[in-house]
Amino acid sequence: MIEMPQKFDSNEWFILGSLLLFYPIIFILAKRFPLSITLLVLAFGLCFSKLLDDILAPPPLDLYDINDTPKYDLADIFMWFLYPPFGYLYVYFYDKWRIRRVFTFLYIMACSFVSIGYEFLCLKSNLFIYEKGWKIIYSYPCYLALLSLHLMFFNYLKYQYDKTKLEKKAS
Amino acid sequence: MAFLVFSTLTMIFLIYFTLTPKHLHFFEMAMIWLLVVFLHENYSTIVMLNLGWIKHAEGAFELVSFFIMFVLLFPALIIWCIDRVSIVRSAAVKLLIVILVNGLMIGLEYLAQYLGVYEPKQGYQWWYAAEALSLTGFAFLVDYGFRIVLRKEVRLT
Repeated sequence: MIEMPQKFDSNEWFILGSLLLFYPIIFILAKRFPLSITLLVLAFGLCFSKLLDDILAPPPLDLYDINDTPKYDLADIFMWFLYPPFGYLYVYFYDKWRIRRVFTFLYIMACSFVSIGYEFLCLKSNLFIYEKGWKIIYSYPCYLALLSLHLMFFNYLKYQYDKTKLEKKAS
Repeated sequence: MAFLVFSTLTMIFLIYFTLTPKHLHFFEMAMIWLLVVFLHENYSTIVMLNLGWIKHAEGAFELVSFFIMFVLLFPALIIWCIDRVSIVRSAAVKLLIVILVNGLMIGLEYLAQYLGVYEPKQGYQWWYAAEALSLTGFAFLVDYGFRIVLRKEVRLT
């Protein structure tokens, strides 16, 4: 049903290394948000990255391949968990540095460049295989859209959380 | 045709859903939506790509219809189902709502098949029921777990 990777090579090592690097960072960082917001931010990263890859990667569009095979393999499952920590760190620093107004625009632009840099590393480790017409630069507008949506979602979550707290206090 | 049918149905249901009062907290609805979409994406990748039980239509409109159905309509139906179930007290009515919503989802899958959104291999239509039931069951579990977190944080009743 779920295929095994053809061999444990650069892409699997890259996934493993990234998971081991990013998840401890999340746990080490000070607890900044309530657990419900943290879980929703992580779920958002998980869902939207998979959604976008599901639209672009498999047939009928079939623009690129992920990992060793064009099918769904075990490494793919672990790969989806690379996105949530990035989304979490993204909103963490947005909130910590109190980025507002025009700096939000610059922050989204800069983080999209960071994402492109990370995707370049993924490409070099054969996690993504762009032999069907997709180019790394095409991902930039996707990151701009996704990261903007991520911030909107996060801000709305904070607004809803504060509103609920206030309502509970008042009642 | 598929695009017209599914986009219209989805919009009608979303308008109805938005305008009716809801019992679930926004956080619960968001979590259910995100995880149902994620689970369904995994299902569809395995069933279509690895097992080859169901084949996507090639047309762009059919592809858009497929995503409208599984990214908007089905999660909204499941959230509506959980919302209604959380309001009613009678166990029989709760069960009836779950059966009705699952029946509706299976019916919509047959409609999608009829309109050419996807084409199952002969004999694999049972997957429609398995998918609908497991998505609903998973959503109930997610809501149960997440409600515990929310209760602790915002004293949600």
